Amino acid sequence: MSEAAANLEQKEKKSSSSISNLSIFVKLLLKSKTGMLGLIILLIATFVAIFADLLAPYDPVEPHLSYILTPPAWQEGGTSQFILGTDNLGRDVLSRLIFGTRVSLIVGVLSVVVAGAIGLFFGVISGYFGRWVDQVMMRIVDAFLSIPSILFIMVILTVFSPSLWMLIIVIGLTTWVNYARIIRGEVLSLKEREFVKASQTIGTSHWIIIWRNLIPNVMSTFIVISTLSVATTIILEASLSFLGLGIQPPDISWGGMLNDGRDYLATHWWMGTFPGIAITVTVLGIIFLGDWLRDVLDPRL
Amino acid sequence: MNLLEVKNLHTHFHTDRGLVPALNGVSFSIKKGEVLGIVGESGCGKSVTSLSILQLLGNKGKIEKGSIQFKGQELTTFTKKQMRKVRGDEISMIFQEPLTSLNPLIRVGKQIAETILLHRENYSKNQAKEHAIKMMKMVGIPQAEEKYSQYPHQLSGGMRQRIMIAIALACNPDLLIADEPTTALDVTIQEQILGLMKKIAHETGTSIIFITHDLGVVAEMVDRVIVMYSGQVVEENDVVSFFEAPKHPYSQGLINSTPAIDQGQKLEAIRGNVPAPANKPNGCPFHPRCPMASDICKTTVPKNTYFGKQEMVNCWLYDKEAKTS
Amino acid sequence: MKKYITKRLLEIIPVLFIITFVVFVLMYHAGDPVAMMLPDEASQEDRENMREALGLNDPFIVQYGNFLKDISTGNFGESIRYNTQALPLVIERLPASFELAGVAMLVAILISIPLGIWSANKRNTVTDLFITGGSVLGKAMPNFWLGIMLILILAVNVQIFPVSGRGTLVHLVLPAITLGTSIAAEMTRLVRSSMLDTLGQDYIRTASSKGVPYFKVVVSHAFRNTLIPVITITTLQLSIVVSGSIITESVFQWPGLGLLLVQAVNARDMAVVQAAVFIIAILVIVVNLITDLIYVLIDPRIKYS
Repeated sequence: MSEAAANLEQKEKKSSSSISNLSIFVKLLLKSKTGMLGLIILLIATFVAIFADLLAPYDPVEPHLSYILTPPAWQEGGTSQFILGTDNLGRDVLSRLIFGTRVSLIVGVLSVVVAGAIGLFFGVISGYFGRWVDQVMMRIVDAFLSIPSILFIMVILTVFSPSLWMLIIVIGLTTWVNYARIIRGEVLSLKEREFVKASQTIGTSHWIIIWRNLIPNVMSTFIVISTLSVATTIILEASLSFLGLGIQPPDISWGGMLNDGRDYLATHWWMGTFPGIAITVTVLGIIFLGDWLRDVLDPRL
Repeated sequence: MNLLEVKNLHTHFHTDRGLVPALNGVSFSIKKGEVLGIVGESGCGKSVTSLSILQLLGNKGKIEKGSIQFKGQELTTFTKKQMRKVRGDEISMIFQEPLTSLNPLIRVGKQIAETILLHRENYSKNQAKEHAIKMMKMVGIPQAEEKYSQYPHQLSGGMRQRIMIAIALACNPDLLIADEPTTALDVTIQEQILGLMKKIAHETGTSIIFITHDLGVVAEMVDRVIVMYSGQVVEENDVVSFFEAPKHPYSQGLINSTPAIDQGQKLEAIRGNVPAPANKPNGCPFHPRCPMASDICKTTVPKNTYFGKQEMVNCWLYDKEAKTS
Repeated sequence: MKKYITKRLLEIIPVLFIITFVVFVLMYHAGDPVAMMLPDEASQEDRENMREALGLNDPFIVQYGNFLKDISTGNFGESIRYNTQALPLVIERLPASFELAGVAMLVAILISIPLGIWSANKRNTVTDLFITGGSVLGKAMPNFWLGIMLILILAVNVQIFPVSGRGTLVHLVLPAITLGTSIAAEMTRLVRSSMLDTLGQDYIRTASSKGVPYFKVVVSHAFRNTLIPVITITTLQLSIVVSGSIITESVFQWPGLGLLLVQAVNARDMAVVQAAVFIIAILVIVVNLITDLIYVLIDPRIKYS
C-alpha cells in the first residue's frame, strides 16, 4: 500500500516537474529569444549590482562642485569624465546608476522572498485544511485584496521612517495576497489527486504531506509568480522612492535619483532619462524571463 | 449524381511543433438522402474530414490537395464569402458537446433565428422568430415559445442538442454533418436524439454524414459505412455487409471489441493505440496493431481494392498482386 | 438580487474593520501626539492632564472603540498642515481625482479593447508582436517616468501642453495619457488572452459553421464572452488605477486625493492620511460591488439570490 502510494507520488513528480530535467530546460531557453534576452539582462544587472564598487568610476555620493549639471559626454558641454553627465549636486550619474542597481535588485528579490514565504504558507494551509481555517484565512485575503497595497504601504511609512529593510518588510507584508490566492487554488485541486489521497489513507501526517507532496507540486507556479513579482516590486520601490517614501538619501536608488532633482528633470534630460531606462530595461528583462518560465513550466495561472 | 464527392483529400495542420498530416488521401461520396457513417477511434481524422468539408480548420489547418465536389461545384476553389453561403444553408453541422457549442450569452431562439436571417434575406426579424419556433417544435421542444428566450444553461443536455439540430436544419440544408452528436448525452436521451435524426432524414430527405465511434449507433442509423484509420479510409461498405463480413482487420477489431447482447463471444480489444499523425509507421499504418500483418505491410502502403461499386478495402490481404507475388 | 447586495454590503464590514484596525495599531505605536501638541516647556503635569483629556491613558480596546466612534461620525481629527478637519479636505479633492481617473480609464478602454481584440485575431503576426510588445513595454515602464518623459518632450521641448496643474482641458491631456497607458498596458494583455480563449471555444466554431461572417463572429459572439474575465480582474486593475493615480497626480501636481495623500504622508499628517486611506478604500469597495452587479447584465448564467 505505502509502496503503491510512493510509486504514484514518484510518477506525479516526474510528470509535473520539468525543472528536474535541466538539459531540456536549457535547450528550451536557448530556443526562446526573449527568454534568453531576459536572462542576459538579469545576469548583467546582477553582475553590476555585485561589483558596483569596482565598476563605478566615481564615488556615487561625491559632489563634483565645478561640474554641476554637466550633460552627457556626447553632448555639447559634456566631458568624457562623466559619460552620462552629472546631477544637480555634481554627482556622476553613471556611478549612481550602477549603485542604484544594487538597491533595486535587493529590494525586488528580498521583498518577493518575504511575500512569497507568507503567501505560500497561507495558501497551502488554507487550501489543504479547508473548512473554517480556509474561511477565516480567505476573509483576510479578501480584505487585503480589496485594498490596493500602496495604501497600506503609505500608512505604514507615515509611522515608521523608511529605510531599505523597512521597505523590504513593508512591501513583503502587503503583497503576499496574490501568492496566497493562486497557491490556494492549486492546492485545492492537488489535494483531490490520487497521490495525496493515497498518502492520507496510509496515515501520513499532514505536515509531511504538505512538505513532500504539496509544496514540490506548487513550485512551478510559485516560481513563475515570484519572477513576475520581482518586476512589479522593482517598479513599486522606484515609485515609492520617487514619491520620497522609499529609499532615503544618501542611499541610492533609481526612483530616488528621479526624486532628487525633480525640478531639474524636465530641463536636464539626462537626469531623468537614464534612471528610467535602467528601470524599464531591468523590469523588461524580468518580465521576459517570467513569461518564458510561464510558457515552459505551464502552471495554471 | 452524388451530392458530395470527396477525392484524395489531404489536410495538414501547421502547428508550433511542426507539420501534422491529419488526412492523407481521403475519398468517399454520399448520395442524396443517404446516411453515411464514418467510424474509427479518436484521432483517426473523422472530425478533420468534416471540418475540411466546411473549411472550418482554423488558422493552422489547410487543405493541401484533393477535391470536394458538392452539387457539382468544387468547394476547395470557393472564396470565403461563397463558403459562408454554403455553411448553415446548404451544409450544416452538429457538434458533440451541446453545452459548449451554444453561445452561453445568447438566447437559444436567437441562435436559431440568426442562421435564418443570415441565409434568408427576405425574412423579417419576426418571420425569423416564427420560423425558429417552428423549427423548435419540429425537433420536439415543448413550450417552444417560452424556451425561445431562454439561455443554454437553463436547458437540459437533450434539449440543448435539439436546439443544435434546429439550428442546423433551420435553412433546410442538403447535407447535415453530425459529429458524435449523442456521445455527450445520457443513454435514454441518446435514443431520443437518434430517433429524431432518423425521422428528419426520412421526412426531409436531407443527407447525413454521421461521425461516431459507437458501432451501435452505426447499426441503428446509417446506410453505408466508411472506416477511417490514421487519416485514411481503410474500408467502405454497406452497413449490412460491414457487420456481417467486415473486411479490413481494423474493422474486424472494432466489431469484436463492441459488446453485443445476443452473442456470447468474448470481447477483444485492439491492442495498441492510434499512431499520432506526426509519427506514423512505415507501410500500412495499422500494421503494428494488426494480427494478420505480414512483411509487406511493414514496408509498403497497400492500395485500394474494390469489390463492385460500393465496396472498398485498403489492405494487402485483398490485393491480388500481393497474393501472387 | 436585493439579498445579494445586502450580503455584499455586510461583507464590507470586516474589510473596513481590518483597515481601521491596521491604521489604529500603527497610530497607537506612532508615538506620543501630546509631545507634538504641547510646547516644549510644558510641565509633566500638563502633559499628564492632556493625556488624560485625550483618553490616551485608556486601555487599547477603549481607545480603539473611541477611534471607531469618531470615524463613524466622520471625525478623523484635524490636519496639522491645514488646521482644519481632515475629512472635508479629502472630500474636496475627489472631483479632481475622479476627473483624471475617469478620463484615464476611458483612454485605457479605448486603447486596450480594440488593440487586444485585434492582436488576438492576428495571433503570431507582426501586428500581434507589436501590440503585445507594446503592452509589455508599457508594463515595464514606471508611469511616473513616462510622465516625466512626456513633460520633457511635449511640455518643455515642444511646448504644446502645460507642465503641471489642473484647469483647462489641455491640462488633462498628459496626466490622462500617463495614467491611461499604464492601465491599458495590463488591460490589453488581458483582453488579448481572454479573446484568444474565447475564439477557441466550441460556440465560436458553431457560429462559423452557421455561416456567420468572421467580423460578426468576433463582435456579436466573442466580444461579450471576452469581457467577462476582463471585468473579473477589475479588482486587480483597480489597484493599478489607485497607485497609478497617486503617482500621476504627484508627477503633474494634479490637485487630487493622491497628491494630498503623498503630501500628508511626507508631512506625517496622520489625520489626513487616515481620512484619505479610508475614503479610497471605500471607493474601491464600492467600485468592486458595482462591477459585480455589471456582471449580471452581461452574464445570464449568474443569478444572485
